[in-house]
Amino acid sequence: MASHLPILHIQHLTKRFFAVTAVDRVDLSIHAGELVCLIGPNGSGKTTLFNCVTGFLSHEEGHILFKGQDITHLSPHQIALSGLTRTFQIIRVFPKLTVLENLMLALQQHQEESFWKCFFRTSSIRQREAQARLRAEELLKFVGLTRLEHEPAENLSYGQRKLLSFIFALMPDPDLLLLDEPAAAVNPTMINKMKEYIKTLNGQGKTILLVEHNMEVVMDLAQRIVVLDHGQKIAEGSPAEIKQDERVIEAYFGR
Amino acid sequence: MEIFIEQILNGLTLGSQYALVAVGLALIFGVVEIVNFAHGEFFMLGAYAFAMVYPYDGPIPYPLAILLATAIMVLFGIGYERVVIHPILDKTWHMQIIATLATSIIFINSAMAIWGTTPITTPTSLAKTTVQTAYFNISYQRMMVFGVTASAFIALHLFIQKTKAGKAMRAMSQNREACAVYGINIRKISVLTFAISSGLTGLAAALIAPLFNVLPTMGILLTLKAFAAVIMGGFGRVSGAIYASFIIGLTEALAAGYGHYLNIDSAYRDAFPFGMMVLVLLFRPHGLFGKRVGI
Amino acid sequence: MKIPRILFWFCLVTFLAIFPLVVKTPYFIHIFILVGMYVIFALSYDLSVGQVGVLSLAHPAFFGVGAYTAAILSVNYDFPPLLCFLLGGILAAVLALGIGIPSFRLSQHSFAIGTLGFALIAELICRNWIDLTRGPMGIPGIPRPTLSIPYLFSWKVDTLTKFYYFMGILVLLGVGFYHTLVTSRIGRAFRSIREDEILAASAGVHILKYKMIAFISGAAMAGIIGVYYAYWYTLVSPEQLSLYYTTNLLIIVFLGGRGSLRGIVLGAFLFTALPEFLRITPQLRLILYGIILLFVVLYFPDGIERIFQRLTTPKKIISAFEKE
Repeated sequence: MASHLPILHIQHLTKRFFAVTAVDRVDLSIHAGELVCLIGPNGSGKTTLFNCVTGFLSHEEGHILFKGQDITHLSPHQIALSGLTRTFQIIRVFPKLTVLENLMLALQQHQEESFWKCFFRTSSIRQREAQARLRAEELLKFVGLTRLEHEPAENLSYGQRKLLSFIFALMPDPDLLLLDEPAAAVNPTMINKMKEYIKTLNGQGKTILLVEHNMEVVMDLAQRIVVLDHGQKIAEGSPAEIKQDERVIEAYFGR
Repeated sequence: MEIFIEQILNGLTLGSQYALVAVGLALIFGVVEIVNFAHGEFFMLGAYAFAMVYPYDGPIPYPLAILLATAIMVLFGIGYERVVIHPILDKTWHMQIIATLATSIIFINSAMAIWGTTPITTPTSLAKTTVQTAYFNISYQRMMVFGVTASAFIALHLFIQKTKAGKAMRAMSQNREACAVYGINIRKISVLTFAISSGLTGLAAALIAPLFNVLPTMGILLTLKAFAAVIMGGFGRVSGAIYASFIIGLTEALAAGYGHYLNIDSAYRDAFPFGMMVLVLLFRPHGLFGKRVGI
Repeated sequence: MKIPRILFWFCLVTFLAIFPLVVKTPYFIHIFILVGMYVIFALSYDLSVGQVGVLSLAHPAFFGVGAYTAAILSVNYDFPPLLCFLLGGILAAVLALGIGIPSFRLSQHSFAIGTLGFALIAELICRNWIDLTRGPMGIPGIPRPTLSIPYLFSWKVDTLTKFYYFMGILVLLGVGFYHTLVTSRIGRAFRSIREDEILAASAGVHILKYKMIAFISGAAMAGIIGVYYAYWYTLVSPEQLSLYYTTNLLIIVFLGGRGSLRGIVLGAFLFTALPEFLRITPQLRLILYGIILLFVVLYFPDGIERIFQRLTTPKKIISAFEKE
């Protein structure tokens, strides 16, 4: 049935910014269906890792294999099209586009299209638009944003935008979803909602890697936790193991 | 051989002009992070200011005229910062570019309306007296250009390295947000930067105007060449901009002097800086001496 | 007060269609032709500046390529006008490809400066490559075009009225192209790039490809209108590539509202017709333009479009604190 090859295989990843080694020989593997949390004190390299994986940063050493393919030299849009999507630590949406337009954009690139077909709105394109619209509405319903469908994204509150960027990343039904601090800067009600959504998705088989600072969320969600400190992986294991890991405690609370 | 030396001198003169202007542009770009499309017009206005105070090799002594022109431009720079730059500091880069482009149009056409489109000259006795050596003639004016330019850069260097204000400028060019935290007054530094940049162009104008004609459109090409220098020099790196300016000046002069050997019309010599800039941008998007910048 | 869009356009088109039959004064017809040219020119520019959000300063070069293509081919080689239109558009597109590929790799500032550099080089070439372009003298004597496809039709455009209707056709085509492109998925991709390039890339948008599409289509449109200009004015000169036109375009696009069709049409009208009526000296006009542009950029960056929106859509009250 499922192959035992990891969906994402990061090997010896090293990223340097001049004298600073932001990511230091990190190994990380994620298998289909897993929900893995990446934690670590500020500056430990988590977002840099994300940026390397999603193609926004080049890296000096190491390999990144997604679904068996080396994605090291692919540009961000190519990586997205291969089934890997992400959210951003600082929420990004298209402010002047409506919520629906935002979502349609998220999917349209994944549907094959040629310039002239799009220009003349051939029936295949119109079909795809309809499909995309259905999916968008499905996801809007999932997170309860249906009535904001035609609202320009800039009019949404922070929490609503967070949800939008969440379903934005879900639109193309990615094979791997990278979430950058889904619980940050929102009220407890929203945090609980996000947890529920993430659990539901993972329950449906979605592979998720998330970066998070909120330990309660991490402990609740993660099947496996990976800990970074100063760019290096210092621990990996189940929540129970990590809670007691001395190196982790040291990293967070100092020596 | 004579042609060679002559072109070298021309190139160095041009280079000095470009350097004084480009350094100002580099400072603005580095410290305030604004692309000032009206910078060439600063030079043009400086030239007209100089022409106003020193119309016919008098009535005031030349050094005083230089100081006066520089001072006028310093004040102008401060005014420009207050009126135009301050409101656009937090706007997007397109807006900033268009705003400065708009002021450029206003300046050029106002100059045309005020002074007409006929070129005027501002001769100095220095420009007319030359020193004759075995290999070349050089006017006192040119010697002055080199001397004053060099002194200005040394002074600037000392200012930036040693004074508190200079250090604040360097800090701001590296990390604007952090400056606020450390109590550095961003507004003041911004005004200071414009004052210095504008002053440098005023100085350049007072030195160079006697050698060429003054007309309202003299700044247009200059802006672009200054940009070329700033870009090639590494986007806001002052020393890089200086080197690049001289490279541009020398290339232009040599191309004009020797171009006919390669069948290049001397009219094309203006294209050289842009051609070079385009090439540099293609192969080294961070400039020849670059620090890494932007996306 | 709601003004339905369709009604607005219908009235406008009808008015324009019967205009020259009612108003016989050549001066006004002349102005409308100029407005039409600027409409297409500004829309073509908006594809880059308004839709995708890249500040290109090279646009007059594309217009110039079209104009010179028509001039050289018509005067020297007697090419049929329709072919010149085609070639003008194609050559402008090719130039855009050539400029775009290196320039889009650059940061946004450098892109603006780089395209400015290209524009200048283009103007310099026109001014100095005497063998091809006759230099500052320009190329005069461009013949009145006879648009014809053998066995299908032949139309000699030799009166002002005919030029007016010809422009009308081009405007319809231009507006139609712009509107179709912009409201398609491609337009959506354009706007996503304008709003947030990084987010767009992370969603699978091939940034360079879409920027190039906008840039090249805009260039082709500009090239075609350049060809029209050549036939209409019968003289092309290096002035056509001057940065002055970039300023005009910026004003129309920013005043009219980037990305807004009706805003740009109105902006083109205001900035072309009005100064003609005002008849002030070129310098004063430019100073005024500069001031207006500065003012608009500082205080009204979204231009006329905002005003339109208030007139035609009821204001929605959005509570930012609605329960999630």
